[in-house]
Amino acid sequence: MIERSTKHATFTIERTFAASPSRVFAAYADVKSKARWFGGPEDWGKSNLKLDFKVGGRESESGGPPGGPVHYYNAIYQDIVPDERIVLTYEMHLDKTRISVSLGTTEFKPAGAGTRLVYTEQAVFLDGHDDAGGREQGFGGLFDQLARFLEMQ
Amino acid sequence: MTTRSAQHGTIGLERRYKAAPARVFAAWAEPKARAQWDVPGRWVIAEQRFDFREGGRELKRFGPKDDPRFVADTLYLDIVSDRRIVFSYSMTSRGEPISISLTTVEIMPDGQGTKLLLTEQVAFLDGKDNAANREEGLASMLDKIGESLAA
Repeated sequence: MIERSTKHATFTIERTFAASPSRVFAAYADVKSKARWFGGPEDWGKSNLKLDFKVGGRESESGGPPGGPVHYYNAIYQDIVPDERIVLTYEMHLDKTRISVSLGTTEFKPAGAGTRLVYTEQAVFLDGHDDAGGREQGFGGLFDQLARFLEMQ
Repeated sequence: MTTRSAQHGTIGLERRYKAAPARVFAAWAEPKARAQWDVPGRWVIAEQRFDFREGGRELKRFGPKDDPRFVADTLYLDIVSDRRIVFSYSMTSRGEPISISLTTVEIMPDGQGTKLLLTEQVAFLDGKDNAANREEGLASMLDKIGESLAA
């Protein structure tokens, strides 16, 4: 029998990009752009991102290290303000086990000619799969990839 | 033009009920039982659609009797019978966003009764609501669960 437990956590990451808010927002809204930066490390293989970018629309991606567990990401868009804000909820499965459910708010704010991005994640980790530190680190890596994608545009 | 903002907060509430965990869980799971308490204070539910299952979506229109202008759009994300419910809901007023919430309800045995823990993680949007106000509404609903179980 599974021992049921929950652990709630909140973290915030701020990054400044040289690109304008509309360009950074487009890197989230356009599936081809998002697939370029929103994924695991290179050895996880090619992105299989699916994205229906509208309120009520869904997004999914899966992948994992060779021979390791498969990470499944499934999201639903809750609120979208073009060039300014995206709010979504998502759940993560490791193979067949649901390990967390999260509420993610991404804010895009003008900063000179660039953009200050503020990402706030409010998460509940389920049944001992407590990994708030790893999650925050994972998003740090994603934002590094986003920065490289924006630079190459 | 609306000035956009997001304020994040976490609300934690605890209640003890003199009823078994299965009955407390049913107060959430069964439409007839939930309809007795699923709105704060003296507000009314003008329309409600139930779909209590993982992946199920529910819509509820509610508010003051003369102006039930709020819509809650709920999605069930994780359900463990008699033990846990995790759901998200967005709240709007005439289409304008108010908040997005991720709510965890934990139900556990407490002697002959039940302890319930509710944790709501919220993003309040564009200054339309705040944690103190939301906590008051949630506390009112949890008290009404106790009244409905005693009835």
